[in-house]
Amino acid sequence: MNEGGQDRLGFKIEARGFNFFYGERQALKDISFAVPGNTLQVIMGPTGSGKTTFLRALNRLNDLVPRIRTAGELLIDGHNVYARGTDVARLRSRVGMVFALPTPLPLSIFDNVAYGPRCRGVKGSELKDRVEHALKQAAIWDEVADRLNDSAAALSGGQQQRLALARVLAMRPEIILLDEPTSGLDPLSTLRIEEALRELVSDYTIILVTHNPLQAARIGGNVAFFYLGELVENGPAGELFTNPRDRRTEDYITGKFG
Amino acid sequence: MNARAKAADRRASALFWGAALLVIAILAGIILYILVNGVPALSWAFLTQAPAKMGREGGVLPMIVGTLVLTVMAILIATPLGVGTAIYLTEYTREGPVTQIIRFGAESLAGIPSIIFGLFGFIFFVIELDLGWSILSGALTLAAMILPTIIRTAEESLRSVPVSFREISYALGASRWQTVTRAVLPTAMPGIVTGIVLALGRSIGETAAVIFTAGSSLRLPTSLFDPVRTLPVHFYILAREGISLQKAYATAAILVIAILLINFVAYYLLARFSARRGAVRR
Repeated sequence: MNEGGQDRLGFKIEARGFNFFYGERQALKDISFAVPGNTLQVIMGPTGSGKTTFLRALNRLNDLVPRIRTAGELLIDGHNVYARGTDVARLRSRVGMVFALPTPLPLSIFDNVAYGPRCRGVKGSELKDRVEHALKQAAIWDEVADRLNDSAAALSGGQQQRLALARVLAMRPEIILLDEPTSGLDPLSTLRIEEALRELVSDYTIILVTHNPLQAARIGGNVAFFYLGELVENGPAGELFTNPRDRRTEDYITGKFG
Repeated sequence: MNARAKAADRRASALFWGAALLVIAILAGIILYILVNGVPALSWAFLTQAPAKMGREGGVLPMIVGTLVLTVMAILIATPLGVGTAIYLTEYTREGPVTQIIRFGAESLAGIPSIIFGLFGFIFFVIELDLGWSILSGALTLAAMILPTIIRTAEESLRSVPVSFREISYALGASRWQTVTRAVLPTAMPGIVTGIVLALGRSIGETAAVIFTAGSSLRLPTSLFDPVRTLPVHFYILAREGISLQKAYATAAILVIAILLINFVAYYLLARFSARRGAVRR
């Protein structure tokens, strides 16, 4: 793979007529849009809009579901992630993911963050450095530095979610996917995650999924609105929220449904 | 709640309480009866001496050794097979005809009376494979017998590992093998160990499957190809042939104490194990 590169138009991620099926049910319909490198892309939409499916297509986590099928192309650095012969484990270490529910593995704080690098054979002092750096990037180092060997289960929900972010960062990914990362968190914890993301965007391409228009507006960047498996519109947050082109977008952001 | 409903409620709780109490009473009764009859005949000499005069005198050292070796061998054979099967069923394949056949096979195996295992072991291991009455024949037979227990408990505890742990592991770039060994197995370990202990308890007390395959020699074994007489077989023969009821009770008491001890130690280890890992289940 052409690492750290971008496709010929300079996009890190690009969907070209991408369709996704769970058995007979089509979850994504002809999605086409592109995300430039080192930007923050928000995907907003109600439950069942296909936003999580899109996210889980990017790191092929959907492979765990039986009877899935895709059509069209989903490109990272110009390479179709569904191309035959894709090294999926390698892909996933380049495309990190933070889940909606903060879930530490039943290991210590250190071992949680070290999990990804260890799977790729990193050990010793490099592993330690990576864990420390990742915890700092995720703005949780100060809270856990003196108890790295404690069980991660003892952390608060907000801390666990920043730990999940650190766990992803320790892999040194190029892309970070976040699936409603703050849906279970209080406003203050949400703010800390969002602040951490703003710091990270200069080094990573970030895609954040949310059902919350307020969060989408607050985070900024480009916002794509998904509805019933379709991409309704995509544009800078400022434009999309003040002057939506599509009626459905307008209804959603003004709270008429969703 | 009206008065009638309340009365029915009280009757029901009394009934369930009674049932639970009865179970405990039966269990305690059996254990106490054996201990009361057996413990007085227990002594250091009984534990450390070979039997004399067909077991009428002397101790049970060869039987203790035989039981231990046979059981440990059976566990060593059955654990990798059983846990491996469970891992295959839960992690490496999707539900389909193959998994159903494997599961059906294991369940059927679980329903077979142990004497049939004994007969099978006798015909296949002892005669066909010419292993003779030996520790090996007995251990292989016992392993086949406890396999379903190990498969089922291991499968259940693997299934109880949250799907999210697997997703996280895969999302962090782990291979299937890494996911199984680093995220799934450690989480499922307490359940798997419990299953192995259950199997241990079952095989330590097994008589019918062993008497046909490991033999009933009174000598101390020196190799895996030697025959042995296990504790349950010993007290079966002592009691059945009227050799010494007192020695039979003493042997039974050792067995009961050993099984209780195994259970206590296992649960102590389990508790420590889960405490160290923190809250495992979510």
